[in-house]
Amino acid sequence: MFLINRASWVPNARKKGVAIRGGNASMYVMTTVRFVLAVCVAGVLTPAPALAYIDPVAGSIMLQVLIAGILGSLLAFKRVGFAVKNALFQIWRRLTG
Amino acid sequence: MTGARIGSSFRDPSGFLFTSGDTLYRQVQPVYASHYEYLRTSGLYDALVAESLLVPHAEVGLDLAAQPGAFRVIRPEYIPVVSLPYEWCFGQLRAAALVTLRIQQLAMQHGMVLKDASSFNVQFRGTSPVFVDTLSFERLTDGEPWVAYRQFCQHFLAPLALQALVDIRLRSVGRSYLDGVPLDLASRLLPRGSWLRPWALMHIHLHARSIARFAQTSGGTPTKFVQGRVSRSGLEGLIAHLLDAVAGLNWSPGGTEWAEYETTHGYDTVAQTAKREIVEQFLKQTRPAFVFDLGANTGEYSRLARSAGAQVVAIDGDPSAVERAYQRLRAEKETGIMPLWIDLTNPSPAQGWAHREWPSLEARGPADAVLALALVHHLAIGNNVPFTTLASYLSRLARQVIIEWVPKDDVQVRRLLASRKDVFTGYHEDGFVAAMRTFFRIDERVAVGSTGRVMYLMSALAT
Repeated sequence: MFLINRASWVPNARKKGVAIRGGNASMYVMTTVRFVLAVCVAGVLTPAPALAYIDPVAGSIMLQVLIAGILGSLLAFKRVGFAVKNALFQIWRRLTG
Repeated sequence: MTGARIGSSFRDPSGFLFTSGDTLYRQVQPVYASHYEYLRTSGLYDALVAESLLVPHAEVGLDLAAQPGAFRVIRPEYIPVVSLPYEWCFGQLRAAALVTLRIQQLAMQHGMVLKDASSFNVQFRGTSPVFVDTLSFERLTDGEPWVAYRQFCQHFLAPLALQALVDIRLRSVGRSYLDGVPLDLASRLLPRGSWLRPWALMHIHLHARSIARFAQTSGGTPTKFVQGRVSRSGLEGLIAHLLDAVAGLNWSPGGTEWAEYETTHGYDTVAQTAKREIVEQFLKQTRPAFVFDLGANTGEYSRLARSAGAQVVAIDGDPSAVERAYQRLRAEKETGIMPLWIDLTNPSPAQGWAHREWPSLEARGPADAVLALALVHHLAIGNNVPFTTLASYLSRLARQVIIEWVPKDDVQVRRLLASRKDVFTGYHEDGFVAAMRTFFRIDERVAVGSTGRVMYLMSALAT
């Protein structure tokens, strides 16, 4: 079971009562990034069973849930790119060979 | 029922390793039955063994079980010597990481998944990494994240990144953190520029921060729990990304491969030939099956021992020398020599829970023979080791010793003494021989040409 405390996913700025407009630029960027990540994560969380004797660690699972979608898409693009490249190469070989 | 349980085999309820006589067995528990059966019926076991990725095993009778209630008892193929990840050079750790990820890919193709990704699950047959934990596979559940993701990053990616991007000596961190380098520590140690590398950003820096963020100790009382879901394509993307990351990490000793190969000894060609002939002769006389080559450098004499029919563990404290030895032996597909990076002034101790998980170097012996060539002066002068304790340690490591005496007027010894006071009044051949005689019988003494160096063949006294 991967138990994640949803309540802990609160941007630091809000938790600590820091005004975003009054903060410096890097704090604003970080807070925005955290907010976007929180939305993305919340959007893909659904129940799923899991078995393991090691502790996968909640934060590790959360990150994995977030980046797996991006990396999966990246791999799909790569595969499509490779297939297109391969097809073009075959056509070129037929034309020239 | 017989058998002594292996000290490190207690975490996974799926089964455990035990020895009976000189043979290693693994007891499979009923809780793992369906996964074990699926490993065979899905074709994954055959695929892994065909690619030499998983150690093959034979099923034996349940009467050999160490405890009642076994589902199966299996006898894995024999691995000559156990090595520990903190003893591997960079190339060995990288190869072990690639094998782990390749296994995960194959497992997913067969509807299974690695439930752990510990570097201790990989062993070396010579220079070839092989996965040894047959019970690490579970059926893949749709949408389930990879439970071993953090473990993989801690055991493989973080130490490789630290070695490649910061300092090769950071491998030693692994000796303290047996469950891998904590990602927050890796994140702190890596250079700022690593944030620009997508793999380091995701799998180490953000990973570390995400773990800290969700640590329940800092989050107060949990109010609502959710579970993560990862699609199959997402899982494949994750593994492919980790594979690219590991494959892209490299470390080249001294910048150029083989640059200093076989140039660090203090011999001219004639003397070198003489020394080789003496060692060859001693090896012919003793015919050892298992050899520790201490201070092996790039493994020149390990090869002689191998040619004489021995399985060799080539030990050196210089990561560049071990890396060179490994890369060269791996290119030759050598299966009988395993290079290890161990500092002999501080050899691997018994490690882990109750000192019973991972054996010390000494506990992996005794070997039939030790090669200790051009080593005595490094230990006796470079590390102030008294001859008596050197002899005592060698007698615990092997039954026979082929050892080279290096006199004080040798250029290599003079180099060691160049910047320090010579307090080594007892460093002379008579003192060396007297100390060795406490633990060994002198079988042969042969001078190496006119170099002043002397080769000894000694046998440990019966205790």
